[in-house]
Amino acid sequence: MILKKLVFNNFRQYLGRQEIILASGKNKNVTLVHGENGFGKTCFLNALLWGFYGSDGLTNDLPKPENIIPDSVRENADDPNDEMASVEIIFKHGDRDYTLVRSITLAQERATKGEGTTLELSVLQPDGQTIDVNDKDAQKMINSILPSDLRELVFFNGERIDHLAMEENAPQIRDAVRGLLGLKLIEQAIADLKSQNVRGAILGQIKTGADEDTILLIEEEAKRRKALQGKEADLDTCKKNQLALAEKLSAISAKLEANKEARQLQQRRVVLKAELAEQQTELQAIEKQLSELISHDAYTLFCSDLVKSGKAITQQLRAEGRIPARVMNDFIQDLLNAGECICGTCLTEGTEAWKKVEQQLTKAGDPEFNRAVGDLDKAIGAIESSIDRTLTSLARLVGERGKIVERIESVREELEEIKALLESKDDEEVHKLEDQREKEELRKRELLIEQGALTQSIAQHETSLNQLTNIIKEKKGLAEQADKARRRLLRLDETVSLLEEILQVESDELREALGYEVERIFGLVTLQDYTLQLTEDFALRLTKKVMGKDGIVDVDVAHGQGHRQVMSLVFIASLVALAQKRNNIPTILKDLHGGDYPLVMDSPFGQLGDEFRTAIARHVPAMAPQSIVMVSSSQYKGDVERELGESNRVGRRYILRYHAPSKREDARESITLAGKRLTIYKKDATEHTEILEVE
Amino acid sequence: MPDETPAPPAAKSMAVFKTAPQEVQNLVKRIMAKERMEQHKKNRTDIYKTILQFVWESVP
Repeated sequence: MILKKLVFNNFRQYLGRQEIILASGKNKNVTLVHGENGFGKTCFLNALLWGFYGSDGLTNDLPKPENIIPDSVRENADDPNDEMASVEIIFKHGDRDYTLVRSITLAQERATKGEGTTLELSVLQPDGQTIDVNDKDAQKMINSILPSDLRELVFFNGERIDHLAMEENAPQIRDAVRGLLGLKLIEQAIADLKSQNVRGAILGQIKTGADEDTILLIEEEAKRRKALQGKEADLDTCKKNQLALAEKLSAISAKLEANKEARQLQQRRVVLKAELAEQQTELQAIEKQLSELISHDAYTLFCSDLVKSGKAITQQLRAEGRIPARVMNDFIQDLLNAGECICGTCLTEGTEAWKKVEQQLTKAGDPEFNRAVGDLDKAIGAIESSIDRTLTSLARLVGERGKIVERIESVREELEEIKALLESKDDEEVHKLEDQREKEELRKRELLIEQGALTQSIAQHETSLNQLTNIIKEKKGLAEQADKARRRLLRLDETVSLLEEILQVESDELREALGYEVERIFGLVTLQDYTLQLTEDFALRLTKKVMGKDGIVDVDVAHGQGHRQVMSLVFIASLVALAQKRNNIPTILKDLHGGDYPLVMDSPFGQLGDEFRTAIARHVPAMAPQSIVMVSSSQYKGDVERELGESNRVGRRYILRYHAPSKREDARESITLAGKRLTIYKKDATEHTEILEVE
Repeated sequence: MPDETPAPPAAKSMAVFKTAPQEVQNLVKRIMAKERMEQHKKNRTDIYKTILQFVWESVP
């Protein structure tokens, strides 16, 4: 949001039409509004807030907020429908230009105690088309650009902003980050995708082609798929954690090797660890071979009795001449079919000779029988020889395994000895590093166990999901249309999962990036040895480095209102700076979320000590793409004037000229700007303020 | 003094996005663009209809 032009018309003390063009150049991005206390600076800020948010936007310190129309207009009005107040704001956000006009008639003001207003919003789109947005949608559109609850991050009284730095306001900061950096758009998309209006419509389509049971199965399938994706994401995280842990262990090892006391032992440890890993790989290979041998051939070891008895039986049958069969039964059948024996006897069915020949069929064998006898001989031979071979291989592998196990045990023992020796060293660094190493090694084991459990769980989830998918596919009641709807439901769930993951990752990344900005910008504005950090819980923490027992540590610094004001200003500047940068980051929100926001600051230098005043004047306006700074002469003179002048960023400058029967005693009647003496107070029967541009 | 510090990286976010199948990536892009256009609207009927249409087109 970049403000281009403001038009105040009868807004409280801004009597009549007052027009302001705002500096919005890349380099000249600061507009200065000079006004003495009581001359209309707070009213200027409130005109903007009222324009954007109506009576809800007004600041708490504005007296009589129900009176928007100036008293002089109210008192002289003939027709309350003819008199009105309005604020027009022309601004740019993203690639669109907006013209907003909020107005209130005297009749409306009287009827609603100043709460009822009319809002008109025109949007010039990139294609050149203008759309007019109706009242309710217009407010929603404004809120989508800058949510009402985040308005004080952009339009604020510098002297009343310090509460952001209080720890209890961390949730407000977290919301500000999500709102200003576009994450709420992802949240909205997720909510819409999960809505019953979308999901229910797809389920309804399934219902037209599937029975109740199938619908339940399809819902279950979606749940299981989501659970599987969750486990896969956990496994991915677990693997990443292992890699990070390996790096940590490697760093600890390097530190131990660098330590004189530990060097030799650590070097030996590194060698042993490598050997241990090698031996463990070999052990795995041997165990794999053993497992294959046992599953393929171990049965032969239990077959020796069976083989002996089989051999005895076949030998006996051979001795009796029963195997192999010498006469083939198909030969006997041929004789019977031909009706004549090879000796010439006629074989007529039913005769004695026919019966004798037929009896031979029971004694004769067939070719298959003989082949089986051959196979049996071979099998018995193979098993016999396999018994010996299996025994030999088994003995060899068990022997090798034993040696490796023995070596592993010995390496482990030596590693334990190294650990004990290092622990006995009289060196604090070695003890500390050993403690860390021990802790990380334990974590490594935990992660390995976690990885194993997750891999197993993923396999189980996959099996169960595939089974369910097959059941659904085989359901005869599932019409083609319902199956299509089922796949659409799955696509919807995939989309939701992806957006949820992106939201999580972006939230984490942005917190980190904002933390960096906060630290960096605070570093620019403070001369003290302080650091400002954004904690993981989005609280602002002011710390100082002090020498403790274990080296340099960060300790919290007690902060008063002045410090809190600086911390809050730095936070806002960091957020606005990050929002601007984010516009150029290739995320899924690029080009979808306008990243520019102005800083409209009333008296930002008011409560600041000298050391911060100069630095804030130098750096903060430069952080935002646009700044509108309202200052009194006492806040401006001196350091602020010099810094803003030297920055060369001031593009436009206005004075607030106050007309009234009297003024505050401490307020001046004229000020000198750029060598020109300018009247800022005029005695007048009607109280009002005019805005005049300073050339 | 213009702010010359580099933009913060968004590598993880894009990496996550790119792990998704192309059809899902396209669907997300289309939905987010529509969300941007409709984000000011209190009544979500139009966006629901559009999402359904996009899902339909994604699984024709």
